Amino acid sequence: MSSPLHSIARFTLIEARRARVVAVTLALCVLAAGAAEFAASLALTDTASYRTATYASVLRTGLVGLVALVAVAGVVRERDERWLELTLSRPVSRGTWYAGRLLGFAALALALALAACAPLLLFAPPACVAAWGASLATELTLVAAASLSFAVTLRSVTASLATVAGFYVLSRVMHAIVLMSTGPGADPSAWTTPVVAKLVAGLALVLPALDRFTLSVWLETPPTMMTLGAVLVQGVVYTSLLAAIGLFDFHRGEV
Amino acid sequence: MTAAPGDRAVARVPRGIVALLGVSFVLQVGLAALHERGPAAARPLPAPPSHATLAVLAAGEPRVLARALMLWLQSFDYQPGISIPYRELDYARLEAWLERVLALDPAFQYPLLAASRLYAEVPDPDRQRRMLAFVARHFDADPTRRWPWMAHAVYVAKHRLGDLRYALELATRLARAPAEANVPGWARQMPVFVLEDLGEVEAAKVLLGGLLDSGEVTDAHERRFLARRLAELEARTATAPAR
Repeated sequence: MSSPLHSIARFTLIEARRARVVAVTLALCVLAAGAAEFAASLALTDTASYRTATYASVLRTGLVGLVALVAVAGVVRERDERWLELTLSRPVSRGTWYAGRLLGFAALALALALAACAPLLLFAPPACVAAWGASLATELTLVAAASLSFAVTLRSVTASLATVAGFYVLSRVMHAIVLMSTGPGADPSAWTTPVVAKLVAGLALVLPALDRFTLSVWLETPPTMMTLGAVLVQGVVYTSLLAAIGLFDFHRGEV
Repeated sequence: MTAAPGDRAVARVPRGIVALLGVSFVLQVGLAALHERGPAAARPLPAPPSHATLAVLAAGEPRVLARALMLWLQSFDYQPGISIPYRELDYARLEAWLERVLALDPAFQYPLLAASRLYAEVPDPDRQRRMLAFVARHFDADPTRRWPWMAHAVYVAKHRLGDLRYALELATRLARAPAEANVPGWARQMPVFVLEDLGEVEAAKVLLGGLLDSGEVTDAHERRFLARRLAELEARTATAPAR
């Protein structure tokens, strides 16, 4: 007989299947492939890199959105339909429920990353695809952890999705924002410039460096073990942080 | 972490979770700080995508994309832990990026400003000429808005490149802008001063005399200044030894 943790994780995957995640993922792959061929047809040169880069970036963005939607909608629905109350009335601790949900979403992230990698094996070396896929799985797990945390805290699909979207976009562009806030374009005579630079730098410390994740260039030149390792470590650390935040709020809030 | 009415006390949160929160937060800040101090390695400027690709990416907002791209391009030389001198930027790719941005929003002046006042300041004649040629190539399409950059291009050609012939060519094109372009008098007068520096005093006199007679210069102070200048030129030709 499986433990509550594994049961909750398994039901998370069943819930995702019932939400037609398989069909949506296939549709995303087809859409990404179409966009990739379109981009490659417009390119005068380097068509192969246009194809793989477009496919990778479209699919990455699409899967991030899909994971966030599945996680947020599932958790909010479980709370609103009082299934969460029923689950916690059993000998299942809040921590077990949360960990089970997170484990289920992590398994979903891994499955989606594998599905995304399959077509890439036709166009890129296996080592490159493996590195890219590992980073994608880490990124999707991180997004799932954020979605779970925000859904538990905010208790609303709209607010949670908007927060996840803002968090994701900010995490991806934060590096560029930090450079711009301290670069030659910033007005050194304005008193707001150093204040903004400090605020931006502070924010960058508490956001994950998603600009270093799942780079399309890895499909041509695989990353070094140190680079990939840094990405995986960042993923684990930030997922833990998000889980801790979500658990903290979950233990404080009434179901 | 929100606190709604009816929420339980913080003390009810298991210590393990609080510890996980603290440890993971410290690890995250440490990781982020390490990333900032990582070894610097300059990235080359990538080649721009095609016009068609950018049009698709703009998703109906080419002006927004143009502005975002210029901010990114402007900051490109400033990478983490390293500042790339302009002379190490691939100026062919830089020019291509500026062309793309201008194509996205032809009314956007930033690419021409950047070309003439930023990227043409590099102490590399080939790179400077490439930027000046970019400005000159796009001047005729919208002289009303683009004359300041063309005027600065004349200045760069004359004083930075030291190529008076090229400065004269650019100044002449600036002076020949249609009247409705509202190019100010001092900019239209630039060929006169370049000719003077070239030693072609006779040509400068003819041009200046023509300008005063044409009635284009209406400001009294400006007419007096130009008349005095013409008188100086005539005095120079009168005292110069015959060739």
